[in-house]
Amino acid sequence: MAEKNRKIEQSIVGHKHWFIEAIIRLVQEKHLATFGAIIILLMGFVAIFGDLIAPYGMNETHFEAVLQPPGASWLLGTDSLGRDILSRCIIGTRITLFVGLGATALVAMIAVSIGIVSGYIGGRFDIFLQRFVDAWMCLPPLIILLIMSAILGPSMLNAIVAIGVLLGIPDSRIVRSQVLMVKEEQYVQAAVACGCNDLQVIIMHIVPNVVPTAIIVATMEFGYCILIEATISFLGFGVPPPYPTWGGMLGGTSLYHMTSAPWLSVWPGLLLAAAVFGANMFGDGIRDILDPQLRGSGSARSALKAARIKGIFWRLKTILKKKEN
Amino acid sequence: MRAYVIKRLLILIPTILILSMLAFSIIRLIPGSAVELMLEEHGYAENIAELKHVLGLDKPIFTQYIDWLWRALHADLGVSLWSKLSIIQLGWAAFLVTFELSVLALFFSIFFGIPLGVFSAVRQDTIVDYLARSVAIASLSAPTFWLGTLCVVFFSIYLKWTPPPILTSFFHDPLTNLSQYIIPSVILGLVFAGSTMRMSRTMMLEVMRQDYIRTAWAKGLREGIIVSRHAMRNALIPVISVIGINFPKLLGGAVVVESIFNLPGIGRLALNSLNNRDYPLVSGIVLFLGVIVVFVNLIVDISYSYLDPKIRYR
Amino acid sequence: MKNRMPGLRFSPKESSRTKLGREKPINRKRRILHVKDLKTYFYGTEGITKAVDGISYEINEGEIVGLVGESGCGKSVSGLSLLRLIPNPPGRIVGGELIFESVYLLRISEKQMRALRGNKIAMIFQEPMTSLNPSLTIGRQISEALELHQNMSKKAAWRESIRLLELVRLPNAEQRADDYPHQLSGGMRQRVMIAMALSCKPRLLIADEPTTALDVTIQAQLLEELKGLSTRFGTAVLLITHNLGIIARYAQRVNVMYAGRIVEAAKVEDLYTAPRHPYTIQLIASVPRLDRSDRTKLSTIEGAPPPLFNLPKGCAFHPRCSYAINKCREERPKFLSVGKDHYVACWVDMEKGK
Repeated sequence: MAEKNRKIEQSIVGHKHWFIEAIIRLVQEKHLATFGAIIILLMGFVAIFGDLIAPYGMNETHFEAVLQPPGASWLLGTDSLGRDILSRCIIGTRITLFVGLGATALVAMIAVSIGIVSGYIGGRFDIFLQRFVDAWMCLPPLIILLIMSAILGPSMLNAIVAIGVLLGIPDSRIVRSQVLMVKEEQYVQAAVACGCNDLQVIIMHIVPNVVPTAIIVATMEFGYCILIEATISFLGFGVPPPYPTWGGMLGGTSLYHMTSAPWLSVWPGLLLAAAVFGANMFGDGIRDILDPQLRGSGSARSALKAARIKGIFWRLKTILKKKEN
Repeated sequence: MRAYVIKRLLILIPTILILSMLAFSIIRLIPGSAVELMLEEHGYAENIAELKHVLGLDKPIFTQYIDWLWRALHADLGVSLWSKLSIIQLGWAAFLVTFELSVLALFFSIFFGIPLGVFSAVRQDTIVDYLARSVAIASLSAPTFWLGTLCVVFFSIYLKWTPPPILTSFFHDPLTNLSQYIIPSVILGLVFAGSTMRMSRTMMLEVMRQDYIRTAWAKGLREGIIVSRHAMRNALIPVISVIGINFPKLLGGAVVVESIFNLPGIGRLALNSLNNRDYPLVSGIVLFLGVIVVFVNLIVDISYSYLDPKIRYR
Repeated sequence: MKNRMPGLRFSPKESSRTKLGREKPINRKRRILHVKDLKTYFYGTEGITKAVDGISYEINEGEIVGLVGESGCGKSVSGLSLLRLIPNPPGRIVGGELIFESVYLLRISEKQMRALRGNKIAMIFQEPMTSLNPSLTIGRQISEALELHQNMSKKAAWRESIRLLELVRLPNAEQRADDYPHQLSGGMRQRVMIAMALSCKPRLLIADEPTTALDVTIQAQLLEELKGLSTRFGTAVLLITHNLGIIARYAQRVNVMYAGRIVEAAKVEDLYTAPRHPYTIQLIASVPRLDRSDRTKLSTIEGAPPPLFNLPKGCAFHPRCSYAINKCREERPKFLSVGKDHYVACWVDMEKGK
């Protein structure tokens, strides 16, 4: 029956799945966003094949070549322990993207869960939960992150969890307002009238409508997740020593050596800026393209709605027919 | 409008209450291993039992919370384990530094971001627009700590300048004071300048498309007046609320700038206290900052409702 | 003639009521506006949209001239073109002449144009809900134009704006002047727009669908007042609308527009009693009438207006015209006179006429 619904939708709206269409439009119209996406994809590539690309190991020390400026054998120079900066940057890509993507995914999941629960249940539960979210939003983010890191202990996973929880709770607001809008739509009321229980309504109607919002939240926060992971690593919390993270490479003891070896301070930061830039641009572009579709570009959306209502009435009819027999 | 203000004030109370619970819970959430480390690394007490007593962990959670809350209402947040000084005193002194830093950063981002955004919108798709947008995006993306580090490194190499060890008070010598703050506040404010600029630009673009701007043109007003008197009022109201939302980020983000530039602000205090496992101080700082943010949000909300005639005159 | 009242300009041949209560006609020989072959095009990804494709008409002093046509036929764009308010990246006035009181509007500088806007030529728009600035009081929005064009002081301008609000019958004008637009109803906002437009005693008022967004009852009130004010100040009015009824009641002459071109122009009586262009004939026939029986089907015009970026060759109406001949498909009809003050652009009519 879901097949039939989808076929009705496609026949009315007459184009491919919105996901593919969004990507096509992105490449055609938003060049800056495509550029950002390419940067991220390149970094992803480097992250996956880092071991093959990097000339040296990430913790391979060369005490005879400590604090070397960029040159032939060390393309970006070495740090205070004689480790090749280029290799560390390359491996660092992996950490950065892993934590960034993981945290973003967690942010989206938490935001969606809290948003749906709070928005759908409503009433006093919703009011109370929103006061909690209010209070959470008033906490100083960086400090809370440091505290969470300290309490949970330094590890990559804990960093992901801490960032995810910190950013996910405020973003649940955005999801919640979308849920509140969808709750009032006629097809939801029709579904309830049909006798669907809450879980069915949530899965069939609310979640599909909330997915674009979740994507928007994710694209908004991806850049920030990368940035904030780097910041806490810089301060000595976050991802612990064996792994080279760009933030960590800029912080800690490096600061003292930087006056004599300025190249230490340049490259990881540049890569970070590029990554955040790419993530932000890509997110902006996706948001621009998805948002008008969300707000209802008139005919396409109402046609979709009509198709959904059609699907519901079809079901109503079968139920009534069954009752007759 | 009065009804709105009263409603806002009422909502404040449960929010602050929950905030206090969150801040308080920090002490209770410390894993046992960390407590042991407190003992071993810093010797805050003679033995575990005494440490637990000092931290209040031997009392049932509810009693401890009420005690703590009661004392907090009397402006007594306890004593720092590390320095044995009153937390309120420490917090307040440090906060003044961060406050000056944040306010200067805010000024910078507003006076830089808004005009740039407005100008960029009015001259859409020209070279100026593209340049301004690129600058804004670059300042958004570059990590604050990186820029700060670069600043310190290159200033020390080429200008032979290092962050001064002692801060002069504003009331003592305003000029020196400002000169010490200016570089860190610009670095801190850069990110917000970028996002303010983009937000102003978006809102201005939207407003300039509106019908009432067309009416203003039809009246024969010139562009400068239309932009300043007709468009900006409507465009900037949402920007103000965004500034309000970003203020907590500013306060929090000061941590990095304060550590790099050696400013004794509340961010650096929090960092040091975390490194020292001085959890009572940490908890006190969180409560302190949280309450301040709540009140800043209140002021922003009320200003917003004052500035928007649709809310002011219901 | 000396001005007896400061701030109010008398036209030497102003209308006045004779003892029998009939109005003495204004001298309509003096031409306020002469539009000659105006062309406004928009350049977009689908091609060139010829919103206004060579229209010509005249407006004389004190007249109310209607510009009637379906949605999308280019009438609003032609109104905006008169004030040179076409947004430049997509649109441009590419040809023609606009002669306003012997000033060539398309040749003067932007600065000179600004001196005319709101001053000698004013415009009121369709949507009163969105056409007023929500952050400024209505009194301020009116006094602005006065301060700018009439060089009044703030106080004098404020007093004058209150007087204008009284003139448009806004109740409690003095208190209302401090109100914001959202505190007024749609009809009241449109009155404010009218007060704003007439504040500097313009010679020409362009009214773009002034009552379309309002209740029918308010429509009648507002148009009566508009007509009264225009008579009183001697302001010529270009009344742009799609409502044939409004034109019949309030206008003296009317131009019918289709697909960016004027197809017929006549005095109102002549148009309604003896329309000549096939489009006009079907348009008038399509208005539902109370005096016909219930059973008559509503007559419609077959087909749809052509997209303005892809106009058919020759006469724009020929695909939908039941009288079309070969010539209609090849050549664009010329706009020629068929009677006293009656012009039509139609090959078939030319043939028949002869």
